[in-house]
Amino acid sequence: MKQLDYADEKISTREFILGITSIILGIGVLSLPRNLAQLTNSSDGWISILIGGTFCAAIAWVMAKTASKFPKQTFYEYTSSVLTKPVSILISFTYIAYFICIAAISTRVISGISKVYMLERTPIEVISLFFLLVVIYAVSGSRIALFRLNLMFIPIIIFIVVVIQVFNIKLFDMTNIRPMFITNWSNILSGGKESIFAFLGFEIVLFYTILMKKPKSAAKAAVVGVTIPMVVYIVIYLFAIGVFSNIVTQNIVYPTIEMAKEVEIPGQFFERFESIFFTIWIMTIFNTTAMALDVSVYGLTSIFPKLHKKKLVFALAPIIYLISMMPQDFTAITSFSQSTSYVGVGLFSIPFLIIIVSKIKGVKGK
Amino acid sequence: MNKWISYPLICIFLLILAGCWDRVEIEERGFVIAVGLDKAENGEGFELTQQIVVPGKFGPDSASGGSGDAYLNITRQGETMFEIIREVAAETSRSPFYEHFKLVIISSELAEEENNLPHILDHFIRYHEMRRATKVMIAKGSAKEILEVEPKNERLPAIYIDSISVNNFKNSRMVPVSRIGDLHEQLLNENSYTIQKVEKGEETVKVVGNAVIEGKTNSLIGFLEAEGTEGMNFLTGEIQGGIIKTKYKGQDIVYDMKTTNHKVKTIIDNQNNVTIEVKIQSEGSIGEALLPLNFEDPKVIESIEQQIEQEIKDKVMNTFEKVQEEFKVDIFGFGNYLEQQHYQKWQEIKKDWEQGENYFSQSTLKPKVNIRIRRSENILKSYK
Amino acid sequence: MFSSLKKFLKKKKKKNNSQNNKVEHSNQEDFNIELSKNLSEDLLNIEEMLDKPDDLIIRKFSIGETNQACAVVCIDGLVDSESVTKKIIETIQHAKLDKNEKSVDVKKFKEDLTAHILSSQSVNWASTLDDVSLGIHSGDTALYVDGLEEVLIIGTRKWEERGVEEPVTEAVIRGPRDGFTENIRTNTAHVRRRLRDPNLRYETFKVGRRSKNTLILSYIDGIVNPKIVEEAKRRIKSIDVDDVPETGIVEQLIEDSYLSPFPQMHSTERPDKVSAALLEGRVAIFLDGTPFVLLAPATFGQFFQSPEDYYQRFPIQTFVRLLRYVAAFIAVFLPALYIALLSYHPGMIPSKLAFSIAGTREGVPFPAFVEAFLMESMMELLREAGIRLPKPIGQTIGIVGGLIIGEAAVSAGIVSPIMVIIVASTAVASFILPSYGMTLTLRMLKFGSMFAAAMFGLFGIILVYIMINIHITNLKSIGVPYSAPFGPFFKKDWKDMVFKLPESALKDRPKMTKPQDTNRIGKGAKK
Repeated sequence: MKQLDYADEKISTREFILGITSIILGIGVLSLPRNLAQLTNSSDGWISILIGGTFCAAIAWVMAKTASKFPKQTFYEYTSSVLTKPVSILISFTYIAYFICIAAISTRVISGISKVYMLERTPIEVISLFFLLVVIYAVSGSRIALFRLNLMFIPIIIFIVVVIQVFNIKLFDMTNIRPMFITNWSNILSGGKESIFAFLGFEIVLFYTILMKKPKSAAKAAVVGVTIPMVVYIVIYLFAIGVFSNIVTQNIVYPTIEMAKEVEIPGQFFERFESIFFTIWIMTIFNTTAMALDVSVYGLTSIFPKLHKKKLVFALAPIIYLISMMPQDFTAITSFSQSTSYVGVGLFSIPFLIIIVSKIKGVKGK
Repeated sequence: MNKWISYPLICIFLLILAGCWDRVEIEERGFVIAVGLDKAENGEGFELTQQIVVPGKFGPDSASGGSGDAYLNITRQGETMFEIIREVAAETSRSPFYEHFKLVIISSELAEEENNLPHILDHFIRYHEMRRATKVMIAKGSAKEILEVEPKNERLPAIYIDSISVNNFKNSRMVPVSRIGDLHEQLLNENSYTIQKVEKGEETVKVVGNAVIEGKTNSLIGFLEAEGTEGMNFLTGEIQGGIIKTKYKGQDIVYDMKTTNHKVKTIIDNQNNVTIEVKIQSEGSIGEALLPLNFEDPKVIESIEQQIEQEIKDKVMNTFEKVQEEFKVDIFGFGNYLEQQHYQKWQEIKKDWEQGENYFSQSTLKPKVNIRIRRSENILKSYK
Repeated sequence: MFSSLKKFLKKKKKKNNSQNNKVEHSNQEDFNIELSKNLSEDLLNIEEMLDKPDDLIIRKFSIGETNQACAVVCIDGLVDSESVTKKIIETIQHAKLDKNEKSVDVKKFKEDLTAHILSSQSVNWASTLDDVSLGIHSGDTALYVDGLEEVLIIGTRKWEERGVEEPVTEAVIRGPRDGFTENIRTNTAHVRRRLRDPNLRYETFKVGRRSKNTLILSYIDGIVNPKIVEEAKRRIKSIDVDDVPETGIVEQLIEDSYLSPFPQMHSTERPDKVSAALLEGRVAIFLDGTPFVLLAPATFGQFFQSPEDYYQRFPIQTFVRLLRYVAAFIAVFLPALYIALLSYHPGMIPSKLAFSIAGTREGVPFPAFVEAFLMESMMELLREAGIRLPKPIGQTIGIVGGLIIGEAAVSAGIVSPIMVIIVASTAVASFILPSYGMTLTLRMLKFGSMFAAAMFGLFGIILVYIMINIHITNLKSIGVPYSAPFGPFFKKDWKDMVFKLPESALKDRPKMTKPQDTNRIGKGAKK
């Protein structure tokens, strides 16, 4: 049966906010406390998160402002109208490759962690494959459905984060948090850089603003969308330090999961809470991966309008699978995701470039 | 198009049906609930005793399983933990499974040697099946013997010991449990710390007292027995309840602590003399009085309160002085308070806190105790 | 994978359609005959068309005392023979014509017939044989008059039917106990009796190429979003099959996604449910011959509502609502969780329980998932058997199956006692849902999640959960997102979807159907 034209196919502001939150929350937070604890003393890492988060929120604001200047044009269209076509194609492809890498890294990391915590002997290839199949199923559906999926998963994810913190209050030791403000600024700033990596992914605002019901509210929404994960990160970080102390956090590979491991459900209804946490966290990483794949598909369809969306999904998925299988060990994954993150940070300059050039050329959005 | 998709799919499904790599049925697993570590007989390496549950004895009709123990102790020797555990796996029909692991018991003989503790604990902290809530105890004597105790009301010795160890809210002399996760923190900080001590009685085991571990070498340097433990609990604020016995007019009165509160303030002067002020506040009731007293008279209450305060002060001072003289290590964690309250100064004296100058043993303790008796329980007097 | 399957099915459908269309054309050429003036020719035609069946009654007689021939044609069993005899034949035979003439002015008689002579409330002129056939098959009587080109179809329907009974599938403790019957008129009357709104609309369609069944689309003008009505009409008009015996078939023919396991329209036997749905801005589809009425658009949450929620006290019913969501989760995932926990993550079970489960499973030869599949299939067998068997035996089967087989299986060591508990609680949970259609869906999904759990443990379960969510968010019911009000988030709709707030708090109609008139409660009623 034909879909109806009166059904909503535009993204509401709320869906936009949670879409940004969903793509940001993912693998970053699992190891973020460790990376920050290594750089900062005591509990000071939260300042780094605050700085990194605020910086990212500012960038997101600029990006959304840029995109909402061209409310009826796709990213490819407005960049080509401002920066000429070849440059635009280059930038678009860099973004597409970047998001494909994000999807690949998420797939790989989630499979790796699943293997460690849940499926010890199952080959990593099989875990990734099935995870990707579900991602493909999601992306080959309608785009608005993907945003609604975020809407349905985020409350569960926030809930599980809160549950972990609540059950960890018993183990929370204030002596681990104090003294505060003892790290020097250069370390705090390099911690800030580290936490920016955990915020990457919000660049989707450049692509999705066109789909919004009210593109004007995009900038505000982008800031809120970055702030939610920032709050989650700060809470998780402070609890990790409070529960483990700084030095232990430095030496645990995934402190966030390990924190779930500490949870003891009163009444011993069930044990091993980390399995539950981790299972739910798969939803988060699924959201990240699906959004990243979808945005690259969207980028490609805007360059080649004739290509069929489903065919593109089926074409991109094997690429993601192969990329995700490339790194051989833990360090290789880390360095791969590091270099991807640097590309992402480098791409922060694009909206500024667009704004400056459009000011010079005097290009205006339609 | 259809064929291109369906063939790989069929392959995948066939693969999966042959797969299920990780499926191990619950009855095929050997639940290890505790390990005991002793020195190997030949002096090299460790002797590891694993306590494995025999679930057949747990079923509803355990009669069919016949009589016998619900557990199995397997003892093997080796150089590293993982090696020994895997060696046992090759010998039993059930692969060892550590997700219900509760307890590590280490014999004092092993713990006395330098750096044995971190070597032993590494695997139990590292391996993903382990929990950070696993408890660690030091056995006075052989760890294996403790795992062989035959409890009357529990089927598994490990569960029995595990349950005893958390009863500290009723006993002020019981040490708080030493979770392996906390030990990880102490090991990384090179702090000195204490571990619950477990001792074999005639038919039971006792979990009373502390084993004192020196932070630099991670070796056992002595035991803090029941009396000292009580004082220590007051100093670390770990006390959750318990009783204080005191004399009033020559007769015994027992004070039952309901709530306790604890605050530490540290002062460092220029000569690096450290003064530690510990404020202990407690509220409670009279649990037993061997003489008829008028509990409606505030003066009586006040003088009893003072009596109890003095009692606690004595205990605390005794413990502190004993630790300062005998062990010379900061097992109370006052170093952490110094770090919090005087971060810069602490960075200077950190190295000489327990070693070198040993500021710890020169420091002075000023306990301030405040007791409030809220009630005399159900009666005022039991006799005239 | 799905898309290719869809394409395949669509191709088949198209083929079928084109073939059937040809057949239909030839049929219509046969019967679309204009009626003639000649009575005997017409009667012959109709006899020929129906091949002279036994139940076809043709009674010839004369008008008044003239020789003007006429005849009534009807089908025995569908008509009220007393009214045919008394109200038609007798009145016409005794009709007093203006002048006592021997011949009748046919033109004038035609006017007199409806104006003065016949007292029946429903009369229609038909001009083709096809219309006549439809009329007499509907239980009406055709009156042929020699010399007239048209035939009068007089309403004389009466046949044996079931009385109004309490709906079996949707019983309530408190609330009206009348249910729909197989008669569409009774059903529409039920709704009219509850909604005396002049804007209540009934639009009639004939569906089924051969069965020519009556379908009524009902909505309240001014509340319902006109686009929903338009779309529903378009879809109903596109129905082109031989027979539409039940609304279930209507649903399958007009729903958005025929591959989905989820019911995309709500079927009910309860008039109060229909009137409530109409007031919420939905449309209702009645079909003659079935007591089940379709309500559309339907969303996922709607299947968790029972009319009783509104009749009982609200805090209790809010609790019951939440209970239903939990029950749905249990019905789908409990056996899967059992498999996952036992075969993959025994660490999650509390230690002592884990040991005792391991103890009870000591003698069980099968892995947990074989055990679970075995017992769940057994449960499905028993359920299906329980439906087929006559009522008294059906209950026995429940006892024999549930208790005796379960007990025997445990003592024979085929399954563990815990498994029996799991199977029983799953079955109980799946019956908590007020909608039988949703229960069936959940039963099917249960096996999917068990399979995933058997492969990947909890990882498999969460993948299945994600997939179900993806499917639901992509699904639409007449254009309304199936996952509303969760997916597209409508805060106001949560008041009556997730919770059940007091009646006075439910000021607005559900936003998800985008009604024209949003206010349910007048300003005076607020306090």
